[in-house]
Amino acid sequence: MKNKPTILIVEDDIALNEAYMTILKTTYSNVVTAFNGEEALQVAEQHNPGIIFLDLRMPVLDGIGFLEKYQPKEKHPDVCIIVFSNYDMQTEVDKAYELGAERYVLKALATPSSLLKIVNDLS
Amino acid sequence: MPKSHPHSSAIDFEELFRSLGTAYIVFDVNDPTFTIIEENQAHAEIAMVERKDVIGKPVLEAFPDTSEEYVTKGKSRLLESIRKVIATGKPDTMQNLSYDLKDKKGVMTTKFWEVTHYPVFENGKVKAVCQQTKDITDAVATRRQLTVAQDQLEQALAYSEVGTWMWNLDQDIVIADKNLVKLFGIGDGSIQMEVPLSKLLKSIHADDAVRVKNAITRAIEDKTPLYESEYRTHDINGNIRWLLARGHVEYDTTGVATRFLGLVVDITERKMTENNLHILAKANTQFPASLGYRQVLDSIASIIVPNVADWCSIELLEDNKIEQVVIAHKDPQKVKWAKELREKQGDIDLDAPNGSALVIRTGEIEHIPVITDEMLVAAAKNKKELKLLRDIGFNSIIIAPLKIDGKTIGAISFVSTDSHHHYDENDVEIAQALANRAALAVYNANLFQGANSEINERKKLQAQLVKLNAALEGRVQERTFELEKTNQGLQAEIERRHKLERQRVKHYIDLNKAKDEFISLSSHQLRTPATGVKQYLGMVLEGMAGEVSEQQRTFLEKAYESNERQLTIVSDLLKVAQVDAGKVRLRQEMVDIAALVGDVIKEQQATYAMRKQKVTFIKPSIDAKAFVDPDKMRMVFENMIDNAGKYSDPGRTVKVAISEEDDNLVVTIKDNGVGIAPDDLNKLFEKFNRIHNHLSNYVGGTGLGLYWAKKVVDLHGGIIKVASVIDEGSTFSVCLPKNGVSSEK
Repeated sequence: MKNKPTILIVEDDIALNEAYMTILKTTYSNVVTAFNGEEALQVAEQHNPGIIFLDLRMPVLDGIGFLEKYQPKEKHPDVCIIVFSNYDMQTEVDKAYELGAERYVLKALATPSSLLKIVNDLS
Repeated sequence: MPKSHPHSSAIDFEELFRSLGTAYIVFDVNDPTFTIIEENQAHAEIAMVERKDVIGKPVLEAFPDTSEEYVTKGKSRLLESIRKVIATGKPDTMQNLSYDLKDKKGVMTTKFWEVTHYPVFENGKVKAVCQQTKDITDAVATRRQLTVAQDQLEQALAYSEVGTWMWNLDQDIVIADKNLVKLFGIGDGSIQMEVPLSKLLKSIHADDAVRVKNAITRAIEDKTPLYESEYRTHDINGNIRWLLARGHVEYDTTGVATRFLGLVVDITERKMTENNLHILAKANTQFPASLGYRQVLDSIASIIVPNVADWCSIELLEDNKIEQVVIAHKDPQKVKWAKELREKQGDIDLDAPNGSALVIRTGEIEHIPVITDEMLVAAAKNKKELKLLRDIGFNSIIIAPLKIDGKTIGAISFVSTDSHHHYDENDVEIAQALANRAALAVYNANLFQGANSEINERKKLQAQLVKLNAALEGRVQERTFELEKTNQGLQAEIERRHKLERQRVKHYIDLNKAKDEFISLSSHQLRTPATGVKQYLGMVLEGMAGEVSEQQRTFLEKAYESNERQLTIVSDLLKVAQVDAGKVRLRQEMVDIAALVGDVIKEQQATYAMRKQKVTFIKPSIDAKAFVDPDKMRMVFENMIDNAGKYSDPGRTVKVAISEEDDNLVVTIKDNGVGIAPDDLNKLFEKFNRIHNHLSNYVGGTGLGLYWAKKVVDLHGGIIKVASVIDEGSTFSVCLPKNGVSSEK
């Protein structure tokens, strides 16, 4: 991972989306956000993020749909995708891993400092 | 030539002239009949005359002109040539002068001469003409024989369907003889043609083209002594021909290929025979007698398509109706389409003037080698049908009757479309052979059915007997009827209740499912806002929004803790919903249980310290490994070790140990806590059941933790047990099969 990767937050809940951005912005300058999978594809196209925090349950295009189109394994092997969701049905989680997600974090467990630690560990 | 010749040397020129090896004869030009004034011995010999007999005679008297031209028109080419030499003073040659001459025995023979007339000058004027004569009779005869031989060869080639080719590589011109032209369908075969190689390759069947191209390239590159290749072409009539090509490449001194020549032999018949034998052999093996005739006809159709036809349909005559039993094409989509079409068009009219109806009526095989558009126009009932027929692309058709004992019971149609094959006599033969086999199959099936119907007849008789018996028994039955009626009423009531019961069970299952889905969905929905609260409180507590006072921090921490409890409840609900819905799958691996339990204890040390309690763990001496899902078992132990502390008063110690029992590992968690009343022990592992004691108000719980833990241990094939004495404490033990398979169940 490069020193200053762009971080993409994909989260449909406005309050959470804002919270994550605020937390990450305290340490990282390149943070971009999207509110669904479709938007995330466009933002990723523009900004080439190094890390993506990806929610699963979202309107328009959900997290699994995003992974299917983004094709992390085939087209973006250098991008680290962290599934960041409160949706922990095992089938969905398995599917996300299969499609190229590297980590799965239950949103309800992450604190601001742990979020920063995840990014720090990756950088 | 003058009789006295002035000569200064000792050579006798007159004698020399007479003995020259080349034949000469000299004519007097002052005489219009061109009297012969001299002839040498060589000439006398080829003319088969005596010198003395011709000298002094006019030329045409000595050698009569027997040509048709002279006989009918009085025009002598010989005299004209002599006159030309006199007029021009230049030599003149006549090729192929033919003479009918008598030999010494008086037999007439035809001789061919090539003569050249030379002028003999005296004082600048032509005084005489000297003829040099060459007998070319033998050469002409040889040439003629050669021509005949060539003609014969050409004819032989034409009959034997052998074509020849010569390919000049540098110009890329293939000289293709008439036969080759015909076999490759590039012309009508009346003349030989010169074409680029690509033109010939275009005529080769698409399935063979690449192979042939490769073979040609290989032959040139590898310098193989003999090129040989078998392939198909479309001939001038669009028929497929099998050809065997043989040839060789010629190279110049530097090793560059210059010419490629050879011949092709038409082996269509041989190939067809091979193919037909193959198909018939296949047809024979595919008809076991036990099969129903429809199955057999299906198999026959699957041999016919695509080996013999693009389309195959089999119709049978049943009750004076023609029924299409099989329709086959290599493309299942097309078969579907054809079946739908047949349904739309209804039954085939037995009185139809053509097609299978005609064959079924007459019992005669129908063979149309080439189907023309006019035929389609004539056959179509309307424009729509005509378009349909044209779209199918009929090329050729054979309809063969299916006959049993001389009676026609149906017909098989062989239709050529996409393969562009035109059926010939060979195909007719194979079609009839396949039809005979199909007929035999139907015959066998009918025999079988016949036997069946006899059995049915007997069954009917038996049924009648039974009926008679039944009539006798009727009276007896009447008496019992009312009794049965009552019974039936009871039966109906029982059934009604059963039905209600089933409905109720189903309703319950549906409800349960809906509940699981509700819990799962709402848990996710509940988590999101709580997660938002957690993040924002977290940011403030972590100082991201500036300094907070001590009291503010205390309040914020309480809010944070409350929120955490809510999240825990939601998680517990979700976990239970998943395990209840059977959606939990284990990811098992060999796990060091001692290390796992040690980790959990290490993590909880701080919590225990806060309650002023101790937790001890004696590392076992045994190899404490088991085949489990490490994540799920970690959660089980976390829950149990946490519970042990929560339900014990401050200052107490919880002891964790691992032992071995047969093939199982047993983890025991022993506390000196409040204990559980015997009545409550059974409720312990139930859903939403919390045991009430003096500590339960302090312990935030959902009553789901142990329920879930038991379910997970069950999934591992293990057992979770508890022994407890009120106010003395409880011992929970988790028994896990080491190799993942339960040894007790």
